[in-house]
Amino acid sequence: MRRPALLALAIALFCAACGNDEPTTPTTPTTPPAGPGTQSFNAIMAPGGTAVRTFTASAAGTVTVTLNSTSPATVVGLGIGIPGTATGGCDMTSTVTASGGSAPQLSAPVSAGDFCAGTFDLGTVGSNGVLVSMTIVHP
Amino acid sequence: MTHAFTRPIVLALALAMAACGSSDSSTSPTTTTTPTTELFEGKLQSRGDSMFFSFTVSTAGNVDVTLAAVTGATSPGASTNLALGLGLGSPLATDCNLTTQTTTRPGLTAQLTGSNFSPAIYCVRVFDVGNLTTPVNFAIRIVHT
Repeated sequence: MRRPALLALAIALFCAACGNDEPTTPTTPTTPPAGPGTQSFNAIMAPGGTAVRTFTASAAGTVTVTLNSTSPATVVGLGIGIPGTATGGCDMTSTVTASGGSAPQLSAPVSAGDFCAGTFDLGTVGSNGVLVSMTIVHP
Repeated sequence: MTHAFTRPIVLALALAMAACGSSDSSTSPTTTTTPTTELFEGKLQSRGDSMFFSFTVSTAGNVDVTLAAVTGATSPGASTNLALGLGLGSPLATDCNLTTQTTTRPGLTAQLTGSNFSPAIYCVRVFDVGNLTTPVNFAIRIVHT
């Protein structure tokens, strides 16, 4: 007699723990949202090549691109655009001719979404390539 | 004896059902539609040239169209700031019947936007407005529901 009673009590307690009378709030996916950020990278660009990085703007705002340095010092193309099939996988919206510097050489208003920025050879890169250092600041 | 054995089980089941019962207030799941992004790339060869691209809106919502790149076809990578025509409309036979259009230079924010598009097939046209002297490559981003 005692065993069935204990069993019944255990079942009752177990199911009571499963109950939930509080309204639930729908939860959103736990993937952390992309946020504003700064991406810095170095890459060796081969003759005729490109060095492109993609990034995601989490909101509308302004993107700035700074070619910090090239080694050896040379002039290269610097551009910003959207991921595609053109230059190094980047369809360039705006391009400039740039050498290293501390001030952004490119800035552009953007909507939220995926973008890309990078350098491309203008025919000036020697056979050993060039080390480019670049910083992208995005919303 | 039999009653003594079954009574606790009946009681337990009653308690279990009460504990697991649903509450009065319920929540309904929210539906979030993730926008679809499409890339339309091509080349305009000569003055007056145009191309169009069709896409399908599957649920009612907004459409954003961005002429993102216009680059010289003979010098890959270098952008041109050439203004092109950009239009949005619906397919008509083998053409694209524009309902809205603008002339714009490439940028990274949408130059054409529309809201409350019903589920259907739509099209985007890019066309020369008289500025084209050499072939250009273009890239258009379309974001829709």
